[in-house]
Amino acid sequence: MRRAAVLRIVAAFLAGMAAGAGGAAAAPLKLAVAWVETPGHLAPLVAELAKRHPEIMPNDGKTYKFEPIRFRGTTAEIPALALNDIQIAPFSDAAFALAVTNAHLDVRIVADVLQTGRKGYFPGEYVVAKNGPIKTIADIRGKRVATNTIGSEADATMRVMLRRHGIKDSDFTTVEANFANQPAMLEEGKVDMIELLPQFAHDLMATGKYHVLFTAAQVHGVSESVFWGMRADFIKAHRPALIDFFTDYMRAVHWFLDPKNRKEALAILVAVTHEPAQNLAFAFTKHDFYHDPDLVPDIAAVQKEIDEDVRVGVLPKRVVVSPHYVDLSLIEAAKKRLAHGA
Amino acid sequence: MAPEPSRLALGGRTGAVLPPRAAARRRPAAPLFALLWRYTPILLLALLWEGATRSGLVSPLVLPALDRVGAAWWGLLASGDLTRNAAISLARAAAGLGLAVLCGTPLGILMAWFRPIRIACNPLVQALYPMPKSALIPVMVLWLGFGSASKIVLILIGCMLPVTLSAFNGARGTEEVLVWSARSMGASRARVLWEIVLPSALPEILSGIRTALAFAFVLLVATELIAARAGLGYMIGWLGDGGVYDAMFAVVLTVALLGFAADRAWLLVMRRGLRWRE
Amino acid sequence: MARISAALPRRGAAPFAGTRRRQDALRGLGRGLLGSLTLMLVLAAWEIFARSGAVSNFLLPPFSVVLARVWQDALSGDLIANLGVTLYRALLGFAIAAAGGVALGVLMARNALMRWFFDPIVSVAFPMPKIAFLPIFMLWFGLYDASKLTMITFNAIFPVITATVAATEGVDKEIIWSARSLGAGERQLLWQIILPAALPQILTGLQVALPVAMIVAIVTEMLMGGQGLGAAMITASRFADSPGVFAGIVEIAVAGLCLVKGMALLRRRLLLWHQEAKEPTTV
Repeated sequence: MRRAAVLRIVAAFLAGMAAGAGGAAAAPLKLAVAWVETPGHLAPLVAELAKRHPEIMPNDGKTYKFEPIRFRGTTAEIPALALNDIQIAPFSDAAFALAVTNAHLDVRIVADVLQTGRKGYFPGEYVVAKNGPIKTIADIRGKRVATNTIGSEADATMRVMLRRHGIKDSDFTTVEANFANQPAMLEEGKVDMIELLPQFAHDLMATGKYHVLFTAAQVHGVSESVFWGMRADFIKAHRPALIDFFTDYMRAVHWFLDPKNRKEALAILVAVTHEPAQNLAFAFTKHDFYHDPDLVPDIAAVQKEIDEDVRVGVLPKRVVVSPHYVDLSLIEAAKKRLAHGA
Repeated sequence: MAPEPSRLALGGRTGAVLPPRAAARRRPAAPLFALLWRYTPILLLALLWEGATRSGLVSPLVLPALDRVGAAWWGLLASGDLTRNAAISLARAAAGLGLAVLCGTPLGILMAWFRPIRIACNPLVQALYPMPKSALIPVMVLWLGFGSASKIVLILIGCMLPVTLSAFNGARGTEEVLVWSARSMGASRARVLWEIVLPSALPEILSGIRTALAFAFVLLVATELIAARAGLGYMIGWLGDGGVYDAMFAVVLTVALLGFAADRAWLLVMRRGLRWRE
Repeated sequence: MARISAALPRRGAAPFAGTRRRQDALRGLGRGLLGSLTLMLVLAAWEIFARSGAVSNFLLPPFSVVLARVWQDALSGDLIANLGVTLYRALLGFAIAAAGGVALGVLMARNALMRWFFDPIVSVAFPMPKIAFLPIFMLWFGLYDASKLTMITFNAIFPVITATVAATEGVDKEIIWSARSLGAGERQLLWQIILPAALPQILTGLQVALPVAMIVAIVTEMLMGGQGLGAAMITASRFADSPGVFAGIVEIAVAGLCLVKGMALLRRRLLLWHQEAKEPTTV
């Protein structure tokens, strides 16, 4: 009698497990996508757009579940990707190299996020007070600099510039702070130099007390500043759902870059950032970062920047990204689908 | 071999800086008034704060007026932000501390009881106690991410030491006569541990938990300030980042008072627990 | 009443001081070797587990790699630079807390008004997680050393005050009375009678304050940057440099150990003559 009861329980348990596993197979693929700031990173805007116009991302919630997660900077994402807390990480060139050499992650460059210095778009600015202690780059020695995260694109670019002027990391003090808070820190005299994004430039520059000391474009020329990286094993395991995601995402990016949608795009931006509209007027214009409409990253620029980082000592070890660490098949498949009117 | 702990070293905690006799002698018949009188200096400080900001002596950017802080506190409470984050933080601290007590108390008692365990564990204890546990924050974040797991494990590690040490010392102090008579009456070793040694060590253990409680709060706040996505420390961080200083002050004071309240609450538990023991 | 502790080996009265000391030394050496054996077993287990490939070396670099990094840091001068800065902050903050804490504690014990005013402040502030005040201190004192030092002092001063108050009050009243009746002035009383008598407990308070100063120094560096072991560890974690992160832990652990042992040695020297010298188990 007892043995039958036990067998019944075990059978029910196994059936439950099977049902659960079967159910899990049908559940949408969780895609936690990290982002740092917007409108540079389009991910949070795309999520908001999908809420207002579900037809733009029809597969969201079905084959994949799109979840943007905010990070303060790209290097902070490396452990999260290693732990699989996030599936798509927007990397700076330096962060990508570090993920490969230090974190031993088998990652792939899959899509463009933003570029600086291309075709007259936003060049990336480092701002100081006009009457402050820093008049030339050499004056940065011994001063305090705010950065969003050590090793991020803005941070690594700055270090390259400083090393070219003979200033080592130990010669100045770095403080980590969100991009949004850096202008206030500069105004209150807490730091002497900040990395200024266009959405925070309006109020600060209107005071007339600050000016641009140098730009990222002066350091690297055209820079593939931030691009999406994913783990190779994840791409391999979930290719169909990922192609669905990239197709929908690309459709959304096209929507944002289309001048016809500009008014609504700005409305979405205001809703997501809670910043006043006048500060955001630059978005999706030439004063903004450059976004490749087909999400194609400039691989040559990535290699050039990594090589320069290694040359000056910001990165410890060189990585040859192409062809092993590049996988553009997802965006190519997405483009093909969109072309066929998917 | 860990020497006898001085009460003071474990925090000098007897619940007050003043020896209790003196306080009682002063006002034996009006305890409430004594309490108010005792805490009047804090009231004075609060008045000083309000006065300094209102008079313009101190810039409101640097020190928001006390009533603004109070209003901000109320706003955070009403919006639910404060309760939600406080619940997360307190749950983390409780979980970490609870686990530390569950693991550390038996370990300490076993260390006192069985010589080989003591000899094996002692060097680890001696090596680990001078290390600032906050040095483990980056590793915890590396292994467990930004969520609650890293906080709970860090608090577990940080609180294990005071709990284990106090259990060890408490168990060591058990009177041998009690142990002998129990054994001679046929009690098993396990029973002796449970019914003689543990109760005898209880005052010391409870005192050790009090120290561990303070550590738990410190480690919780430190980790949440440095690497978190929720919790009171995280709240302080993003309020400060956003320049909302009156709300930031409100949360800082909340955290500080929670730590104080937890300590006093534990003291009550201690007194109850020990009185019941008589 | 016999206690279990009596069954454990203890420094007690010895029939012949000489042989006892030699026995003690040998026993101490034996215990020390046994102790380090356990530690070495743990480190060996770490090394084997890390090299086994069960976990990525990013999550757990082998101990040998970490040691190599510590050595590298030492050679490149980074270790001295960062350790020096952290120790400078911790020790300076500790020194101010020690001087201020003892002064305030003695004042509180001897002056009723002072005690009335500060007692609730101290007893409320003691169990608070004072690290929560760091963002406020950053607001007030900026992002350089000033805010770090103030934070360290603020955290470390309370155990010193509490210990000093209890110690000063605990001085045998009869000694004070007889000294006074022999014509001792207030200053003589303080420096030659009270402080020496209170010294053991004050030192215990200092022994609690020192690790606190170290902890706070590291946390402030992690949050605010600006050189030091804490800042170096955060930079290492940003660069996904786990050997660097673990090397930082080793360096901090060794530094902490040296400070604590140094303090214990200092205590033993200072209290050679004191009959109440008891080693505390500081946590």
